Amino acid sequence: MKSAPSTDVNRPDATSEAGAESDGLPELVRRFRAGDEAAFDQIVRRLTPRLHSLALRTLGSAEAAEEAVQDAWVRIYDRIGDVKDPETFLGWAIRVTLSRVHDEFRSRARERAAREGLASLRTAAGSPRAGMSASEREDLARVLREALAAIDDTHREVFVLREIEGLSHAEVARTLGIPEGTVWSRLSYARRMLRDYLGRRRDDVT
Amino acid sequence: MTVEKLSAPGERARCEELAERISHYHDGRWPKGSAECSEVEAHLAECPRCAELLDDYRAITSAARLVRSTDAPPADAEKMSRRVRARLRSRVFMRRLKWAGAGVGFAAAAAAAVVALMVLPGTAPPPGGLAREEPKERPGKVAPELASGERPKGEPETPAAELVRRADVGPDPRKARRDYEELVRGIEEARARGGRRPDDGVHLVGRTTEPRRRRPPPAPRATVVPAPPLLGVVLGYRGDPGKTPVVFVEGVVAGSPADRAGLEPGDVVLAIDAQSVRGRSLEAVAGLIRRAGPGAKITITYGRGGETHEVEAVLAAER
Repeated sequence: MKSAPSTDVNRPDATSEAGAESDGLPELVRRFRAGDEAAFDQIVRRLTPRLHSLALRTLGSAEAAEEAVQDAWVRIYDRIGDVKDPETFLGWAIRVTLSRVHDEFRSRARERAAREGLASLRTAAGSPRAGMSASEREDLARVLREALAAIDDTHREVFVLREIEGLSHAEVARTLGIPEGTVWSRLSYARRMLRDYLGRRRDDVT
Repeated sequence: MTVEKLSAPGERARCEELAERISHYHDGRWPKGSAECSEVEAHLAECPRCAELLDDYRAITSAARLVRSTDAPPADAEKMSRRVRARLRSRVFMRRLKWAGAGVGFAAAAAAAVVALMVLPGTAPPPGGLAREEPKERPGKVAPELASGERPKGEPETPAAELVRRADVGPDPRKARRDYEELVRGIEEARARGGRRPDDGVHLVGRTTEPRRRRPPPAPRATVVPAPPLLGVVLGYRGDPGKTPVVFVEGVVAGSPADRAGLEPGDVVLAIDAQSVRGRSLEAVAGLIRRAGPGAKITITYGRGGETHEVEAVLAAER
């Protein structure tokens, strides 16, 4: 039986990776709030790659991701007054995008249950990634996305930011504006729900 | 069917208590050799169910990494910026149509549609404030020169665009609404006569005149938990968007205690022996049932058709 803790590969702080896109962002936000429309256009150009890749990885569809991010930008435009501190704009924009991603999940949820989903994931856990074909990888990704569509928003967003986007627990807490302890417990709950959703075995009667 | 060895109630409670810590352990929350880490490892060494839980968490994380490593084609930030601007401008247009101070909502009912007209550049703005200068932005459906805001030279004005140009939607909000709906009908008729072209110079956005169809409720998704049958139900798990996930009865074994108690597929399990199951996992609910033991009598509180019911069931004797 495995005893070593399964630690994730240390990932550099996501905010430092986003250095280029964050530089000068608070100033652009201030200018936009002061009425400079061109500043908003610059913000859109600068952050779209990141928000789009978050939406695309989570939803798995370019069309859905495009819709979600467009909607998010319109909402960001409308609700910029909610941002009290321009330094927190990036985290807030990510949350708005996640909210739109949740909406896309709801409108595009598949009815088909992910049969044998957990078995497939277990197989993948033991397989070297390089050995999987592109279609196998896509199938697994689809299974996980279907499971994500079945859990509630609050827990899904923690799972997406931590496990798919690869943010640390502290970064997830900062992005969502919640205590780090809450991130840990919500992540645990999300995993239980995903496992419940994915685990289907025959003849299981209580 | 495999029959699992029933754990003692104390052991199950311990597993429930440690379930969250196993997730933390998976994330490497505690350093190796720490008291918390050792406690979890000791339990994993003697509990196959929890060891399986950890394996499942690893599998889920692996799948998530697969998703993370998916090559995402780079977004066209410039195009996104243009599209967002187009949408924002079309909303300004909507506000103009509402006539300041009118207080009349165009979209009061399903049949009362509100649309915004987006007219491609090149058509002269009509009187009455219906001017629109928006490039159409549907990839693959519009020629590049139209997307950049230019009408191809020599392209005649389409009937739909002419209707928009000639339209005279006046300041009276009540009349404006009727004029507007008439205009939309005229456009649709012109398109029906002439055949719809993707670039006829007019783009209707916003809600259509059709009543909005309600989204069908999501189909229940079921997962079941392995266990020796005591009650005779197949439990399902459904996570409706925005709501706490619920455990429900997906199936009932004919002739079983559940069948005799009157449980039916679709019933939502609310409590077992007055213990609420809200927010509990599928395994936890099954565990509550099994904890009573073979031959025991349990009270099941369930929801059906918006009402709450309570029944007693005598669990099957041990096989």
